[in-house]
Order: sequence, then C-alpha cells, then structure tokens
Amino acid sequence: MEPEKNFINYALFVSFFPTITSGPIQRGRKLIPQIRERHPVSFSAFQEAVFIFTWGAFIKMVLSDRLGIFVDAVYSGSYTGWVQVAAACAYSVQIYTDFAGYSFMAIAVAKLFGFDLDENFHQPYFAKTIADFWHRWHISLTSWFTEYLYFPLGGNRKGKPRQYLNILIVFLVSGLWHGAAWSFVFWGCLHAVFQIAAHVTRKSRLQLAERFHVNMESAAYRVWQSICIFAITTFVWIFFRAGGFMQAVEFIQRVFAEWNPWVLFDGSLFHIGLDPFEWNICWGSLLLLFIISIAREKGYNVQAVMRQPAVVRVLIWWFLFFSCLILGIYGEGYNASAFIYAGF
Amino acid sequence: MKGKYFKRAVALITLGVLTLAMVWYSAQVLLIKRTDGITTMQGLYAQPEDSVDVLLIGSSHAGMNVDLSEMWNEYGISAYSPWGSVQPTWNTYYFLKEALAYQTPEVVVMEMYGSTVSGEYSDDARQVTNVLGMRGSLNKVEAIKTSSPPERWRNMFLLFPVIHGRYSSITRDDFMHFPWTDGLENEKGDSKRYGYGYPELKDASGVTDIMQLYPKTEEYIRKIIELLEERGIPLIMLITPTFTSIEEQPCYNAVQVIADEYGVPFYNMNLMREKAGIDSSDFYFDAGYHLNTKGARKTALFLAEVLKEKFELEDHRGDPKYESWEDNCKNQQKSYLRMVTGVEDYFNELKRMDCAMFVIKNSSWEMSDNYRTLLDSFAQISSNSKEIEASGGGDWLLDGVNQGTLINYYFGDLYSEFDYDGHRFTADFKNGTGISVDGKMLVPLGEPGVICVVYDKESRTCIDAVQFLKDNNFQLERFPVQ
Repeated sequence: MEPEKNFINYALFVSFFPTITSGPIQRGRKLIPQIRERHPVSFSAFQEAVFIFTWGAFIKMVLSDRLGIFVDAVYSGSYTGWVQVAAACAYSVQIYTDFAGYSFMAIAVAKLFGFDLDENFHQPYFAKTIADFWHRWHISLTSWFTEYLYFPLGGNRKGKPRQYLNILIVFLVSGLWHGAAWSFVFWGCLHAVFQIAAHVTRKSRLQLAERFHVNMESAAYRVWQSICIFAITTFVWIFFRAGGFMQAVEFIQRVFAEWNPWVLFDGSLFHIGLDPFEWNICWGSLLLLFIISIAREKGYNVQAVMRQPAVVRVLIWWFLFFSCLILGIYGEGYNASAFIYAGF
Repeated sequence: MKGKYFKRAVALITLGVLTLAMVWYSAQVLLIKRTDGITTMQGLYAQPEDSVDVLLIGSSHAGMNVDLSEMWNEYGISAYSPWGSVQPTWNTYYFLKEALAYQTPEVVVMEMYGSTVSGEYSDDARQVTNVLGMRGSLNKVEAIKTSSPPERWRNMFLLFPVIHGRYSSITRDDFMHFPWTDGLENEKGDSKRYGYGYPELKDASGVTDIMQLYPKTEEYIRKIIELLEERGIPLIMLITPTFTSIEEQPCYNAVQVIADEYGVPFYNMNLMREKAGIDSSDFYFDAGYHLNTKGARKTALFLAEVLKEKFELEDHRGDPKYESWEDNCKNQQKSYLRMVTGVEDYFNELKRMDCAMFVIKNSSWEMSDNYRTLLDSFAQISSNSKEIEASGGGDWLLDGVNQGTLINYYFGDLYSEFDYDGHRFTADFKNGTGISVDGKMLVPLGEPGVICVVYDKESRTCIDAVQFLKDNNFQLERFPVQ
C-alpha cells in the first residue's frame, strides 16, 4: 500500500482506541483504507456489534474471571497432584477466554464505528499442531511477527537448520514481548522447541501412522491431535502463569508429588475458591463455549445469529446480557456473613 | 424507507424498555433483604401517608431497645423506627430527611448511641445497609457520597456491583419482595428478642468527663437538630440502657452539652435505670449490647410516658387508618411467643394474649418441684390446674387463657376428637399418631409429659405447640408449627 501522508489518518491508525490497549494488533493495509473511506454504520452492523460484544463480555466475565478464582487459589496455595493439573487446564481456558473475550469486545466496538477488524482467535485449542495453534491464537501478533521478523530472517527459505533457528528467535522475542522475565522467555522457547520437534518428527509420525493404519483424516485422530495440543500448551502456560521460572518448576514438581485423581470426583475442588454452584456455572459456560466454537469451526459466524427470527435474537442477547449482569465476576462480591447483624 | 426507520425505532425502544424492566426486576430479586437499614427504610415508604406520630431514629439501640408495639398496645401511639445497625449520625440525618419527605411526625426521638461512632466511614456492609433501602433521589446520592469513600461511589450508584453476588443465596422470599407483596406496611421497624445476657451493670452517674465527639459525628447531630428546628418538629434525644455505660458516658456528656445548647430534652436512661424500671441485668439480651423484649417494653413505656407528658399524642387504637399498627402488634406478639423458652416467661406472654389452649397430660407421675412450678404457671391462666394435677391422662381444653374456663374432654379409649371454632382437634394415643388439627399432625406423642397447643382466636390458627416432659424436668420444648 502507498504510504499514508495524512497525519490525521496516521494518528488515528496509531491511536485507534478499540485496539490500542490490548489489540488485536492492526496492520496499516487493513485499517488505513477504512480510515480513508467513508463507511456509515448500518443497523445490521450495529446488531452484530452488540452480539459480538456481549459474547466477548460473557466469556470474559462469566467464564474466564470465574475460573481465575480457582486458578489463583491453587497457584497461591500448596496443592499437589491432580488439583494442580485441574488448575493448569483451567488456566488454559481462562487465558483464552480472557484474551479472546477482550478481542471480541474490541472488534465489536470497532464495528460500531463502521470498522471491520480481523478475528484474533480462531478456536486455538482445536489446533492439530503447534504451528496450527499459532495460526489460531493471537492471530494478529503471529502475523505481525511472521511478516516483520520471521520473513526478514529468511523464513524457511534458507534451509531447515536456519528455519529452526528463525522459529526459535521469533518465539524468544515473542516471549520477551509478553514480559521481561525468564519465565516468559522460557515459555517462548518451549513453544519453539515443540514446533521444531513437530517439524523434525513429522516424517516419522507419518510413517508410524501408516504402519499402524491410522487414518489421520478421521475425526478421532483430529480430536486426539487437539487433545495433544491442549496438553502441550497447558504445560507451557504454567511458565506463563506461575509468576517466575522457579515458581513454575515448583508447580510442576507438585503435580508429581502425589497421585490423587480422586480429588476430581470427591468434591475436593469445591473447597478451592469455587463452590459447586460456581462450578456448575463454569461447566455450563464451557459447554456453551464449546458449542459456539464448533459452530465457528464449521464456518458459522454472527451472521448465522442475525438470520434467526427477531424473537430468537432477542432471547439470545438477553441470555448473554443477564448472564453477565448477574453471574459475571465484577464488583465487590457478596459475603452474606458480613450482613448478618452481629456485634452492632 | 421512513416506515422502516420508524419500525426499527419502535423495536429498539420496546427492547430497551423491556430490558430495563428486567434489569429492575433482577435488582428487586437480588437486593439484600430482611436486614436492618434496608427493610426498615423500605418499610417507611410503605406506611400510610402522614400516619407516623413518633419517628424513632438511630442505630440498633433505637430499633431493638424500644418495643414500639408496646407503645401502641398501651397508648395507641403510632411510632416507626427506620433504624440501621451501627448507624452513624450522617446516615441517621439522611434517613431523617427521607422520612420527612413522606411523613410529618409529631415528634422525633433520636437514640444517641450513634454519637459514639468515631471514624470517617462505617464498615463496608453498613455502608450498604444504611443507604440501599432508600429510593433513588438526590438525598440518596448525598447519602452515598457521605457514607462511602469516593472509590466506592461507582459501585454503590450502579447497585449491581454490590448486590449481584447474591445470586447463589436467593430464595423464594426474594421473588416475593415487591412493594405490593412484601407486607412491609405491617412492620414498624421494631422486632422482638428472647434471651438473657446478664451483663454486669455499671453506674455511670459519677462519670463527668466530656469527650470530643468525632467531627463528622457532631456535624451531623447538629444538622439533625437544625433540620428539625427548621421544620418545626420537636426533637427528643435518648440513650437507651446499655451495659457499656461507663465507657460511653463521656460521649453522652458531650451530647448533653449539645442538647443544652439547642434546648433539646435529653434522657440518658443509663442514669435513670430505677425510674425506667430497668434496674437489673435480666433485661438485657446477648452479651448486653441490647435489651431483650422485657427490657425493650420497659423503655417503650418510659418513652411513651415522657411523650404523653410533653406532647398531645392521639390514641389511634380503633382507627381503621392505623390498622397496620394493630396488626404489627399482634404479629409481633405471636412471633415472640414462639421464641420464648422459659416456662414462667411463656405463661406471662400467654396472659397478654387472647387465645385458647389445648392441653394433654399423657400419663401420671409423682409430684416434683418442677411439676409444681408448671402447675402454678397453669394456675395463673386457669382456675383448673388442680384437675390437670389429678388426672391420670386425658385431654382438656382451656378456653380463653385469661378467663380460665375449662372444658373437659376426657377420653377413655385413648382417642378423642372434638370441634372448636370450626376446627377438628384430635388426640390419638391409641394409634400413637399424636395431636392433629384438621388432619394435619401438630405434635407426635412421645414421652410422659404435658403437651399444649396454643390457638389464636383472632387469626383462628394454632400458633404454637410445646411440651413439658417429665424426663426433662418439665422444661419447655417446642414443635415447629407451619
């Protein structure tokens, strides 16, 4: 695209308020033409924006922030075994819904002003490989690093060893971009290692699949791949969440300190930040997220909602809105015992 | 084209209105209820217009230490108390302003325990309870801004950040709590408590120190006085008895100075215990921070006599406009009866009521001191306690507790039923099913003892069922009555 010479347009691009705080990172070739053009807001775009915003608020306030209570309790405690595993998995969902929720809200606000932004998350935990994961997670950051770092370094055009080095450099820089701490660097490094390992072992894995007659196009295999990617990213997220490299190592050590899978069934988790009612809300929200994610994976988007009768649209929006209003994690929390009249 | 825009506008407005209505409904359901400050203020709005003659404001010492239903019972005084727990004087001021927007009392009585509050803000929960019951108004905005630190204002104004967390505690009652269903017009802000704290009472009469009141506390005491002066409504300041009198007396001495400055009558009941009749520790509840109902009745009568002496307060008993005070009095009496666990206290309460008793002695036993005490209690409400003593097992109906008439329905085959006031009372020893009224089991038959069912003639319902068992030394035990 041609350089933007209009300072106002450039300033608006740089300071575009819906995305300036936490993305999605916008590219000039996508946003500046929209700034230059006149694009009145349509009623349908307004409706879509309202739905997208409310969906983003729902997954952030109802699911992400709620799981955060459990995750925070475990990370600040000294639990062992499968409680740690549960917290690690919960964090994977928490960080996704937090970030994706925010991205949806930013995209919706931009849409209210007539700007179309690209999606930033595309069901990342449905990915089949680590590379695929990064094509679905924080898509705007991945494409930025690809275009401004990976390609200038040579990409995959200078042989395998150089390609692997380039991947490592990109992920190390990505780690540093997330935070100036060794844990983030290690987090990036791990992603690079897994991605390189996937490259290196690809041929042997294909041969193995052929030998054991595994249909790699089958739904079962795709589910297996997604489970593996979820497990790998969950493990790596520990370094992201733990607050330090040694804390992450300690967290992982506690996972293996005790073999106690019964804690997932005997109600132990109900005493760690979230009671059964709260867990039910989590599971219900997670189920809804899963269903919506499947629909989006199959190509359905907000227009599918817009095609429904008005009554259905209103009911869907009311469900999301009142879920946020009543079940959202915000405000002061309610402690019934504080209101019991004692010691007046 | 214009038609399309018009339809869209109508659709959006309709959606907006419906959404707001649902938000309002959600707020009503989630609002914290049955808590001091909130329902006492909501109850004020529910009172008949210009019906409150005496407005009693202040902290829990106002609402819990003065039995307003006793003031009605004895003198027909229509009193209301929009109190809040640990209510600082600034919240009392805003409550007063709110009350004066809906009522024109003959006199305002301010319980001054709030003068002991020292601190810029109450605790978090009280910041909520002392404003949330108020209707939306500039007064409420000012109350929030005065009661809470600025970082909390947004949450308090938006309401949902404070109350939405109740979603996991809501009950059936929360869905019934609307101005047209909550029955708050029959509540007057007072409540009953049964129990004994037996604190050590201290004589504060020798305490002459005058402490400096917290500036914000004093500021709002003065605002209250000046507001009432402006409105031409007389004020009386009151300290109800408290066992912490010595520690607080320097504060009350400071209040006395302010009262003298404005010429406001100030009654410190800690210095008037004998005159008020609260001269022993068995008038106190819990650890002594508040009075029990026995004590609250005493302060009510003391206050009523002061008010009758100083003001011409109309006796509203019998006036249909004040029916809710009569209802409150009766409801309070019935609920209090169900709280009482002491034998002597129980029969003293029965003497205050117009009810019938259905009594069964299901066996016979030797005389004991405790049984004699029980029979003496029956003797207070019936002339036929000797028949209860003599019988080897049978049932009696004591009709009209205060009249003492006895109707004997002795049964020989361990089964008896009879009709009273349109209800079928049954006592079945034969099949062991117990005592039932209109087929509904009230009391299962058990160990040897005396069983009593209390029937309220006004509501025509059984309001209590108790037993005095031989093996429990004839102490009172209660059955839940639905």
